[in-house]
Amino acid sequence: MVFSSMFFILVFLVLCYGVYLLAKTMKQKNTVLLVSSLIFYAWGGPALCLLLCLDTFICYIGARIIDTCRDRKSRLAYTWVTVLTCLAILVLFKYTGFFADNFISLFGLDLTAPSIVLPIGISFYTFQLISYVIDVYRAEVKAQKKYWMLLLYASLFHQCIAGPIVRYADVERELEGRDATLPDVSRGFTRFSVGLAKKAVLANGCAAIADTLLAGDTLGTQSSFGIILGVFAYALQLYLDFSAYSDMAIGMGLMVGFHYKENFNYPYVAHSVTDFWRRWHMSLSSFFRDYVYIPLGGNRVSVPKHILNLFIVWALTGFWHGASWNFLLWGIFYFVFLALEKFVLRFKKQPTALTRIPRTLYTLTVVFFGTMLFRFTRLSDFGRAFVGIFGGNGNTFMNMQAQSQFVGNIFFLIVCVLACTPIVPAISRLLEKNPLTKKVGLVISAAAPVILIVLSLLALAGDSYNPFIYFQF
Amino acid sequence: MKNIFNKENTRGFENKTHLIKIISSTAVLCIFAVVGLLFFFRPDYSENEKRNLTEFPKFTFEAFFSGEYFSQISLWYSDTYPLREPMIDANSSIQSIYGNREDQLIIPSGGGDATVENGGAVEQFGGIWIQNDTKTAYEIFYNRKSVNDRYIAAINGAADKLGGAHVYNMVVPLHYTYKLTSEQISQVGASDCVDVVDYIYSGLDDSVTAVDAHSQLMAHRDEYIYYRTDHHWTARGAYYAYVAFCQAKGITPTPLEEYERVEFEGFLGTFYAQSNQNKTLKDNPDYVEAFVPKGTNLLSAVTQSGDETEYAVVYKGAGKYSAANKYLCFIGGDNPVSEIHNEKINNGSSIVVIKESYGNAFVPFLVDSYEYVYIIDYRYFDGSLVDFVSENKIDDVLFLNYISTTSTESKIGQIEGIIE
Repeated sequence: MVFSSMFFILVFLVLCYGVYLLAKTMKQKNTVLLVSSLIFYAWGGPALCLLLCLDTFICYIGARIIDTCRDRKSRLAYTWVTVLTCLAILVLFKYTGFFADNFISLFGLDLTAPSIVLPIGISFYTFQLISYVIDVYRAEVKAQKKYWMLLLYASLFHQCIAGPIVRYADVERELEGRDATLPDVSRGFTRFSVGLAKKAVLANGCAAIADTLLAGDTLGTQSSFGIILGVFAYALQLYLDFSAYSDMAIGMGLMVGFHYKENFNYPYVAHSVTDFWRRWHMSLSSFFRDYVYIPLGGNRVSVPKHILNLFIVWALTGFWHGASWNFLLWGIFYFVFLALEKFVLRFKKQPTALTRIPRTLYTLTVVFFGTMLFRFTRLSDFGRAFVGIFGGNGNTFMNMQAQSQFVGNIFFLIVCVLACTPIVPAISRLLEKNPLTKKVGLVISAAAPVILIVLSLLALAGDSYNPFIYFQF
Repeated sequence: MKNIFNKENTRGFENKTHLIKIISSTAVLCIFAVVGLLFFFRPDYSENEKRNLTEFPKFTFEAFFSGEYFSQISLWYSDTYPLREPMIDANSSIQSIYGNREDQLIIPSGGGDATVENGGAVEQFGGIWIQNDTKTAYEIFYNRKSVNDRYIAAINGAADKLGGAHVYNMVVPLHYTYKLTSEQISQVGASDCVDVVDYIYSGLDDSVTAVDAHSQLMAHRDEYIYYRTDHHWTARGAYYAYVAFCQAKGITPTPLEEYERVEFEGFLGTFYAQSNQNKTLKDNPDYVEAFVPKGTNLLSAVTQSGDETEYAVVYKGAGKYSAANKYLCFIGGDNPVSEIHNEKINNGSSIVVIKESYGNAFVPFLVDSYEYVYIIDYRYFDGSLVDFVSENKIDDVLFLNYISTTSTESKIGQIEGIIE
């Protein structure tokens, strides 16, 4: 099930939280959440739900054993066994097709690669479970004694399929007991509705623009401006879509008393690529930092080793995003700029008033081309788009299609750009300075969720029928 | 959650706004959820989009385990949501402030031809261009020469097999040929329809008589010969093509003034649904003009479900059809086989029109030129045209297609299918 569907919002969520309200004890509440999370997950294929339960079971047993071991060596050994088993399952389901494809084409074999269904969310819940096992090994958390509580952590529908990657340590206490205070629930509704609108109204609108302008078969003839606008819209879509899922997860968590960490911090206002990655998908970056980069020695090693560590982390980050060469290249692309900033440019941590704008423009340019790499799973398409930006396909700078998309969406795009900047928090801080304007701000914030929910439902109503994809064969 | 309602917590303005926010958001969600439960009001057909809406899936173990069953339920839920159409309508109004939507070019994403289900048949679109100042949507056509060749081969093959009958072929250009400048056409990258028609006609065998509808349509380009909200031509456009057909056959066309004329207001055709209910089109609907044949207005048809039914050749009551369906006033819509017997003519003359929906507006004009007019919609007909022609001793065979068909492999496959 996806968050941005009428069925999720109007049937699943309403029923789930309706029943949750009736539950009296914490155990009942957790049961409601667990059962509904499993239903939520099984909606995408009940068989794959068993895999989630199995993965959790492996980590449950692994962590219990690690917890009871006394000597360091066997603790480490059990940790490796558990983590590698989880990773093997992830690789099997996510990367077999990719490796087989490349193996076949490398050796020119006459075979077809097996097609394995990718279980939704496997990248997210596997990482959550791995972080749990390693944290148990590091004695940062205690092993969970009840299997079903660990399953609740791994499967919780708020974050199971699209993040954020929630650490067990962050929710350990709240799994056992939590309170939803009035301001929390209120903030939860705001976050949820903001996320929903970001996804249903803004991100889906940007997707329509990007898909129109970057359609594979017309890419060679698309105008330069058309490609630039298409990639621009896709960059907006990526952020708005992905951060919207985190917003909704955080919001739904708050409604029942979970406090998840933020996953995005307005990455498109970053002043360096390093800064960008401190603001983009923070739960993934911190996962790689804590469980790969630092164990490898981080920056407390020789420069060549340090560079190698960075390379490993970024190649893995890229590959985590998808089993395709372009994602690997995308990770390495960012590695190059991060290494440049660290070892060559040696940016100051905070920009001065003078360097702020040039640094942001440089960052956005890098991110722009990074987004292109992310978009085109076929490298030939990337090539055509890249050359096309500079008119290398014999294409014009502007054509009708690009112009009509630009003029026809200009106000919409402005709203999307503003949604990527911290303008709303800035305004609300401004309003809070004076008691009267603070009241105005509160009234607006009280009305906003209703408006956003209605707007989102209107936008989602037409989703079941897209004349162009509905009957494509 | 209990302490939400604690008296302590609800004190103060801030807490009041929190409460109002929570209650109002919950209420909105619940209202929409309750509407979703009103399954009696769930529609099963969309007249706007001319398609059956998603049905509630049948349970199978395979679909259950793959998750297909559940994703169908989600799709069914939103596709048949009781307020769906007014909601889409409202959303379309909101989108009109997204920018200056003077002109809109809608080209299918993902590379495939866009398709819309039209009463069961699949129509394909290269794209749609909605021009705001003329309030007109144009179908944009991208030609595929290799598919043209297959079309030519299919028609030549038919002429071979139908040796006894005289075979005619008519390919109808699209609206933009008569309204847009060549700069505009090349701007949107559309193909030149006239070039394509010429190419096809030059490839036809001598045994096939090509009907030059284009010259007649060109001569009347300022009249209302195509709809602005629909991909079809109007009956008036079809009439000029009929004049071209009479010239090719060497007979005299009936003057347009001699027909009884009927008109139906408020037609919103396929482009309206295709553009997700574009507001400019909605505010400027088409009207449907139809001309009632003189000899007879009765037609007997075998419908898609296999029943034998009688229709009017031009249904004068079509004013009560919904906005999306007014083009159905012609020959009862798309039926596999139909027959019109004009008892005022007693020479045994006969024609069969092999057509898609463009033929519907055209056929009524043939009624006064033949004793028997047969109509075969090749998309639904599953018999043999060769047998049909010899059994009914048919004199003339007219293949009538609009230009997109000549680049659409699936449709040409269907034509090939009836002449095997």
